[in-house]
Amino acid sequence: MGSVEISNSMKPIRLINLGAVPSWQTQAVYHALAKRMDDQAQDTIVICQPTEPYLCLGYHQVFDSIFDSVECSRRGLPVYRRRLGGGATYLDKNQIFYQCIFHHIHMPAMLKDIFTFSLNSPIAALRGLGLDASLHDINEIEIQGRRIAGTGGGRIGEATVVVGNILFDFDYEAMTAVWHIPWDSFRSLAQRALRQHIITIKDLSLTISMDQMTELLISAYSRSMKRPLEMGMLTPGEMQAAEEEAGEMTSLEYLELHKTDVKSEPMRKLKISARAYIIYDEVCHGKYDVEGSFWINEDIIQSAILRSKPEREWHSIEQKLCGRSIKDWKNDLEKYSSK
Amino acid sequence: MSNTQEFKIGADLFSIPADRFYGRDNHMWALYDHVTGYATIGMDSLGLASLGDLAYVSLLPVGTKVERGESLGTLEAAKMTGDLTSPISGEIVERNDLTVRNPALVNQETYTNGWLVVIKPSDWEHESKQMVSVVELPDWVDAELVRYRQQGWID
Repeated sequence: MGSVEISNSMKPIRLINLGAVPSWQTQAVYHALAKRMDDQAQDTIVICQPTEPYLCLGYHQVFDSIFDSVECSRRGLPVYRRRLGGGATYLDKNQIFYQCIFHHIHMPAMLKDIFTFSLNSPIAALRGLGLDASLHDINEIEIQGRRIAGTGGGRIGEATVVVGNILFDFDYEAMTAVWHIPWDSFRSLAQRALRQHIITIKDLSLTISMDQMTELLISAYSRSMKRPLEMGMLTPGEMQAAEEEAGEMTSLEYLELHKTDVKSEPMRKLKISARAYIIYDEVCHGKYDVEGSFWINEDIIQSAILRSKPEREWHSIEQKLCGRSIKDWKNDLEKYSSK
Repeated sequence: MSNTQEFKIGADLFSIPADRFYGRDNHMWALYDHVTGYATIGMDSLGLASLGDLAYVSLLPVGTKVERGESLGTLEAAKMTGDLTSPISGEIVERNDLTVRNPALVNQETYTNGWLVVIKPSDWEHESKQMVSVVELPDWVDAELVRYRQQGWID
């Protein structure tokens, strides 16, 4: 290992600026590079943006539990499953992607250090714009306590891969519309929570083009990687491998990975940020079957929406549940209803 | 010989039982049952220390034949996925679905209830010799800690 590590670490990192490319390339290229990685291959960083919107599912997620396939089709949104972790996301031309594909021996051994190592450069690029960007909860890039980027990673063959995307703008409506959710209140709470926990370049009133951000990223990578960087291009073989990869990533068999014989239930818990979640729960309360959608922050209810069969008015109890622990909501419901 | 090998990463103390074999490159353990001829497979605490809390575990179905070095499932921790590499060849005869439903079990009860699969080995005699045995355990743990430091910043 030692000799490989020494000789290969001297090799420059190849940086490929794909620019704006069809959506499949923004996922398939890094998968293809990762699968072809060996101790002679060059570590590579890819920067790109998709020209069309699409959806991307985390490796361990169950498609039908996350996405409403009818709505995805109605909107013409293709879905790709990545071999990396993290949650489902909506991606479009208002996001710039950075993707590190390194031989695993050139990455730190500890997971938290892999993210620090890989995300230092996008953080430095954002700081270059005068923004107070920093890393939180291992892998979240935040500004003013709000996420400005998504992150995912994984070991694919001999490669360790970390990818992310800086948000210039974000289509909250499109993201939340395709979720398979228990009822619409869950969606409305999620949309409000996302707006509070996400921040974009547009929100920050910055005027910077994708090209300028690309330049900032390249400059930041060349400074923080402590290895020479050389601009490169995909080889014909790599491009062909990416095309094959795209077919696999969208195949029905791969999209239905982890599916069980049990009918998929809509999602009951949605992570908004490291601290915030949307939760769905239900309880039988006397003659009422009560459903609740809750926006929680560190287990404390920020907002609650209840409905029941038979119907009744729940507004005053929804108000009282705010500020209470989600763990106690069923007991609190009893307590507040009896008063 | 002590029953466990202890090591520290940062302020955390970890122990590795000396009653089983360890994959040299993949941080998987194999505990062989001489009565049944089956080996229980799990992930070791040194590997888990590099990952943190597992969020997902998926395992191949019972009946699947795996070769040593092939994936017997996948894991995810902090948005990072990886393969669970089989330390031996054979057929999966049982899998621990408790770890699929509750991956934290692998972190919490690593060498007991956090096992992943049971394999009917096809060549235990030969393949176990390629794993880290009790005699090699202290040196292997030390070497892995050196690698962790060289490759990455143990506090």
